Amino acid sequence: MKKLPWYLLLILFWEAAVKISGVSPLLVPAVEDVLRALARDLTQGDLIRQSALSVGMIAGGIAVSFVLSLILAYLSQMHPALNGFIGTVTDIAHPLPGLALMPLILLWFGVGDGAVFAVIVHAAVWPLLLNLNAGTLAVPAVYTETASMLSMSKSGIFFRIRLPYALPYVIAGLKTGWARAWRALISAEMVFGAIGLHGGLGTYIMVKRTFMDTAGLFAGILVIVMIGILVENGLFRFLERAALDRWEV
Amino acid sequence: MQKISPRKKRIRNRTRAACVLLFALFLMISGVAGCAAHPAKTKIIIGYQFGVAYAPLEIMKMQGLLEKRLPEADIEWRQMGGPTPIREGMLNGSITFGFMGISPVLIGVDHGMPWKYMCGISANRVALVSCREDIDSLADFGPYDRIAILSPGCTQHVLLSVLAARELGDAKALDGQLVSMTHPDAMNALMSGTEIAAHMATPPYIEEELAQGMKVIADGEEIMGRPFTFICGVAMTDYVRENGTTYELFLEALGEAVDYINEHMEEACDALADVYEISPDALYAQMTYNGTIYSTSLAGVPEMARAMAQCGFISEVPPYDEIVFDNVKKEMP
Repeated sequence: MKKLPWYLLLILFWEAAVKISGVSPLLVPAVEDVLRALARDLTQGDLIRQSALSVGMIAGGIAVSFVLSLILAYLSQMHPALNGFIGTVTDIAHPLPGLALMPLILLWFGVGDGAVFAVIVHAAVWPLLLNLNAGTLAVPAVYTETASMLSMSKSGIFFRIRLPYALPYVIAGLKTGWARAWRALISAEMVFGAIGLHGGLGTYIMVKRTFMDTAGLFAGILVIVMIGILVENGLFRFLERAALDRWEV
Repeated sequence: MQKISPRKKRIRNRTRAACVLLFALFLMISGVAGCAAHPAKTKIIIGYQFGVAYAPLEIMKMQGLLEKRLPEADIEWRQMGGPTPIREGMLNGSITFGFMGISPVLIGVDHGMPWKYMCGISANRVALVSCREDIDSLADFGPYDRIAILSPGCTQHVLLSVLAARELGDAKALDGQLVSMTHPDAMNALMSGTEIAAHMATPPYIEEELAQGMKVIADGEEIMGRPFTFICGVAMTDYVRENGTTYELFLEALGEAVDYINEHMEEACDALADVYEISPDALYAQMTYNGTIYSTSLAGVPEMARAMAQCGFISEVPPYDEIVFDNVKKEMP
């Protein structure tokens, strides 16, 4: 809410700049045209369906990435050889942008939802794994040694001591994973949108571009911004507070 | 009067400065959009696409036909992957003359794009080709059978929608099954037995697909009920008003290129073989394929506009004489 005046000021400046410069609405539409396009596509068009598709896809992708990173973190802490192997794969894959892998992903997964899903998982799994590893290894030795002395198994130590301790790291990993995956998803949808086999907000923007609906294109960007703000400032803030209260970390 | 502390005063001043800067930035963006790249009057940038349908432009470029007429002008040729970047380039002033299918032009007109048709350059056959024995009409397509088109809103998409409205009762019935692909990719997909069951193809791909034992399900000319221009030229209304002589000379040069192709087809193919990286004989076969015509006359735009309006691509049929320049009006019957 603290930023609300700034949002309003931005909108005001946008509107005033369009009106004063007399720029073509095909290049920069006025605020009211964008809002009208947004209302039209929300009520009569398929903006809600496309948004739901993108959000559903990313939620599924992040859930799969989380489970995958959990398995990889568990395995890498069970055996030094596995740790070395998984660490090397992470070093190679983490800096690779998902879009750079697109030709390979297309080759392996074909055109369609499978490829978009692969791009999301690739974007989210590595930062999640790095944070999980950092968090689970940051547990003070006194806890793990005590648990060992009480005959707790390696798996027990991982799931009952290391993992709860790593919660703030997990949330930080989820935030990074989400940010990377959201950008990758929209980019992938724009690529696949051009192909036509996948919906989503990226596709919506591409279709608006093709059919020269600049106000609709702005409306799509606005929805992407709104979802981004809602997740980052709403969902993650809530998760962080909930984690703080629950575990008092 | 309440005294303001120096700190608060500083913050207030900074906030004001930030607001002024922000506003200036917005003004700059909206002011710069569309005029930053406006070429000087002597600069002519031609935006066109790939394929033999654009052969007259390649001849024009190769023989320097525009340079002969406009020796002072700085001429640039830009090949682009589709009509959308050309349209955007024309809107922001970075392309002077654009060449594309006749339908994207109508989509632009429908959204208030200030441009008009200036000429046609070529017409060729368009056909829906299927690799599947069990498909003889649109009704035979299953929900998982995909149809390859060039891009949404392209002439092939419009033709398919017209056919879907006629045969299936809904112009958008197959929209969820369309896949955008380049012609070579679509042909490869058909041949390798993927989910692509049909391809809205143009020469030489129609011929190559038929040679593989595939079949034509529908023909563009039959769908539209008459021959129509496939690739046309467009220019912005303001540009033509302000640069009438350049426009006339451009059309004259294009006309000479079209005449050269029609009168010296073999020589043209010899010259263009390197451009298209195929043998002159193969190029000759493509450029003389049944239904391929090189002509500056524009045909079939009103019919295409009506079809597009019926299928929901555009909101209304624009009056023909308002979307063509005077030289095209003179051709009207």
